[in-house]
Amino acid sequence: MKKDPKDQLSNYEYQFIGKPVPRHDAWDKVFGRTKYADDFDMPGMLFGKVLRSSYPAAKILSIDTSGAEKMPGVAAVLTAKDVPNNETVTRFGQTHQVGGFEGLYRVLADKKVRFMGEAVALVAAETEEIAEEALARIKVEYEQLPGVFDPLEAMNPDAYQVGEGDSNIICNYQVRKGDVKEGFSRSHVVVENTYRVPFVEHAFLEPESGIAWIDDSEIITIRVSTQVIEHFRDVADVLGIPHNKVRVIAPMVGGGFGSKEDITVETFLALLTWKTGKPVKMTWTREGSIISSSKRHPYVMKYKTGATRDGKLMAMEAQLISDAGAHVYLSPWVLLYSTVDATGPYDIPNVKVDSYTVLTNNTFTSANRGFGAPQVCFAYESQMDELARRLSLSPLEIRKRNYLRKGDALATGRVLEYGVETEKTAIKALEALGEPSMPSSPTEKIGQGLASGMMSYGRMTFLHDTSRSYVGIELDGSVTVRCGVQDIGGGQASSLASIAAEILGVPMEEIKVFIGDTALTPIAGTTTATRMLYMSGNATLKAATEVKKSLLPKAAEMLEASPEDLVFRDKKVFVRGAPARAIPLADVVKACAADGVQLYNVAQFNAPFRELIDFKTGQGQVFPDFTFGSHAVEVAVDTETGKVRVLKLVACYDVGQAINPLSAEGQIEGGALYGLGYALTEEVILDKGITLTPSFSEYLVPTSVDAPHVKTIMLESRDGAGPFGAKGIGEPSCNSIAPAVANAVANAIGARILDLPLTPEKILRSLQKL
Amino acid sequence: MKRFAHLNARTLDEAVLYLRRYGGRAKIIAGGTDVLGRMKDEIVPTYPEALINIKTIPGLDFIEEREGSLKIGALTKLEDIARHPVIKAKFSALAEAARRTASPHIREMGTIAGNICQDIRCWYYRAPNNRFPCLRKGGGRCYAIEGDNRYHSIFGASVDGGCLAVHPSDIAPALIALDAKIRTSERKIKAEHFFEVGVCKTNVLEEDEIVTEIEISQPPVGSKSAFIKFAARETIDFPVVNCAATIVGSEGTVQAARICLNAVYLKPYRVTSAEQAIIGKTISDNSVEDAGIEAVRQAKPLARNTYMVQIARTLVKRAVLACG
Repeated sequence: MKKDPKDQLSNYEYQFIGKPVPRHDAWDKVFGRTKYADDFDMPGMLFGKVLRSSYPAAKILSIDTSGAEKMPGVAAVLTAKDVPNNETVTRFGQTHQVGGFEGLYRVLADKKVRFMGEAVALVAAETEEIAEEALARIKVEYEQLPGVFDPLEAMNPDAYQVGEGDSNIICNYQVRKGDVKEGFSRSHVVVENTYRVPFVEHAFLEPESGIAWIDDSEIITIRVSTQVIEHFRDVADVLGIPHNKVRVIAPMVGGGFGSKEDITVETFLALLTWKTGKPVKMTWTREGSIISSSKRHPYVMKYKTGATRDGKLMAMEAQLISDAGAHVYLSPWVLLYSTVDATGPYDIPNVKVDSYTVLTNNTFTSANRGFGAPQVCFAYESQMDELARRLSLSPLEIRKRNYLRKGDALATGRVLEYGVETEKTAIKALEALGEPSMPSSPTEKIGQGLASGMMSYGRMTFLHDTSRSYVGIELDGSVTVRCGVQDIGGGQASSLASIAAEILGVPMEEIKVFIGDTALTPIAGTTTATRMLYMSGNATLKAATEVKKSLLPKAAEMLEASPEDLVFRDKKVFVRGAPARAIPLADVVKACAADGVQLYNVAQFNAPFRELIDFKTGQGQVFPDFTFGSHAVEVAVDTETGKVRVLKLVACYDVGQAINPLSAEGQIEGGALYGLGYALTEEVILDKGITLTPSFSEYLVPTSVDAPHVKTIMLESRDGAGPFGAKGIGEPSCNSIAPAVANAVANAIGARILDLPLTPEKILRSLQKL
Repeated sequence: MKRFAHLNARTLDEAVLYLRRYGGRAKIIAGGTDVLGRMKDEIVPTYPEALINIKTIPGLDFIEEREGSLKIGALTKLEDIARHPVIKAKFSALAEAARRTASPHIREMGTIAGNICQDIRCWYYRAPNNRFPCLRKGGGRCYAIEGDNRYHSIFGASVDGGCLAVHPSDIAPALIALDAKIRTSERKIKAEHFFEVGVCKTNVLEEDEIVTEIEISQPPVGSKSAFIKFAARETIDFPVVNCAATIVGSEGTVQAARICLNAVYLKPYRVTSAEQAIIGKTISDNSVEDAGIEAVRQAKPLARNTYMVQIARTLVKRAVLACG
């Protein structure tokens, strides 16, 4: 395979890979035929509801459920004492057990509540109205506690203790490379700033939802909107039953963005159906979702960056503090991502990073698209522009002098062994941005900004990640793929169809992909960490290749040719250069079947397995590979109102190889808009632990009218760790947009804003109008 | 949602009768875009026992020019107002205010009377399940005083008790700038006097009183009106600040002016000092600058909303300029 970066849509020999084809599931979604979690009902089902805490920090003195239990139509009322194992250890989706990352998973609040929205009791009833009324009749007596809502305050040894431990600090990592003191002494310019980023809501279309029932073989079956069907293990552990007695099915998911990586409704559903013996459905309201499910971590980030007169970075020192909210969940992992990514895609000789994640009584934080990368990207890219300004270099020039290249090492010592085309993405993004527009009024200022970013794809290598996929060919030549992926709307299933189609020469319409069922599809791991194409794509590629191999001898015999000369295309097999003499693929399959040739393969793909890094130096390998890209943005700032309009937005990424360019482009456009909200309007606002933005009239996601045209440029280095040299794009695509907007605003108004989102208030203050 | 009665009124009298029967424990429903959200989220501890549907009353959905006035029936949809050629041509502040209200779906449901009677949007007040038992719910205090008041009053608290909420309507300032009159089942009130500051109240309507019609006199020769809205996003949002202005000019000089801000105080805030600042002057960068300064001279911003003062000042300038 060629290693030179090629421009968009340049495809060599492939039939399906790299071709813009509508996804196999697109029409069903367009016509509303796709059955999402809440679209599924069962006869005789009950409705489950959650009673949530009335306070962010309180002791539970007593719970009286008798009033609720007495109500006609109420089938079950559960509190912590009814849960067989109410407290387990979170190792979500993790099969390799490593130390340092465990958190408490408490199903229902017991003795103490840690955040507003924490589940205290569960109800199952015949109608939603009865269930709602039953919740109102549960009497919980609380004693309010002071709580702590600021992570910096929570770090004090004498701070209020959120949990039962003796410190709110969950964990701390360090990266040490070279000598930062020495590095700063050799710097001619040193820029020091403290950046802050807010809580962010995932804002998927489909709130948390699912239905559970006990099937005729006593298996607790949960059909749920999730990114991780492997939570069946955690659910079984809570119930204290064998893992193989819980089955999780994931239908098409209406958006996950990380919030459906943690358990949402599945344990509640399992408990209620186990208790009542009846099917139970639970769908959270939007408000319930916003106040009780995970958020993106707010960070306070102190950055000090030094460079020589000619713009070469000499040293970087960063202190990162993230607000984990009330429970640990994935905070230690998110923090590790931030810690490794803290230097960005730059080669810096001296680095010191200290990072902390801290419990507070705010809504808990966990995975969110980007997983700790966008926070630090905002900081390091703002720093780069500030250095450029101080050194009178262009933003592109200073970056070009510092970009990491293939073969270079990160501050953690990890050598980049796959394609690194960051510089090219920045050049192309800026080129496409073009000359600045003219202001439309005397009070408007135009600015342009650039930001580059790096984010991993694939899970942390010490988790020893694996995926499996089944590919089988039917007697008529159609193909069946079975793979336990959760399709969260990114085309996770469709890309597997493309891969199988490519290898076996069968059109997309004749590939059926069965996904997301722990009983029927091989376990493929989580749809998180931008790992699905990398992991399950490679597994599917391997399985499809094995199936083809098993057909080859027979086909060669039938065509009287040598196996290596055969081409599989359009459901036919022929000798290269002689398509006229093709035989139908189905004939080959039938002949193989008659001979007892195995017509399927289940392949496993293992990511590189590494051991845990050294938390005191950060040295070691954490990720399989990274995706690099840049955003270039042009904004117009109204200097009298502080309003920012995004006039142009260019996203350029090296995707390695676009499996389906339509899907990849969709991810890049979606990522850009996701990041645009982060830059300008999105912020979950809490007042002492109480959410002031519990609906989409207060939590401001960009609307279609706010969305600028996103110009997408895809580079294809064919030098990634995924199938056909693909890299992952789902999460990296939203990484550098916020700093690009911030840099454009700084360029427009001549002042830098250090906090997201860039609200009119902050802009007017920077303009000294307040 | 809790249970409630739903009564279809066939005539205005019947609706009034129902309201009297329930004595304050019933609410009117027309488009339902405000009242249903309020009920679903159980914002206030007292839940209405009944909704009186007035959509079933014939003859309340019209836009007519009659007896030298524009008359708009209470049930007229905001979208119909936004698109109406006469309103667009002669009462542009109103057409623009309607166009900038909410989203297409809501404008197709929400009515003009419902818009001016809508409840406030303060996020402490509206937090579901009465999470903040504030002044307006009979609680002891206004949470915005010490809390996050980035969207609250820049002109101080209301007279009776310190509520810092703002009035969220886009239509209201346009009606005041156009000197509209609001006809109810009882009386005719100038728009300016319709809105009232009170605990649990945003207007002067009695418990059994229903808005029936909006009336706006034909604009005098040489008059122009404009509406400008500032919100976080291009659509859907309630205003951070909005401003409507009507300017009557003659030979380049301003003869009369009506300028009204909203979302800056618990009721629409007419800025007569800004009007005075431009009367007798030509509309220029200088004169509008003065109007802007005058408009916010009395501002008493809170910890987090000083930026709203700057925006209000700018919108006054721009609304007047747009009438030039």
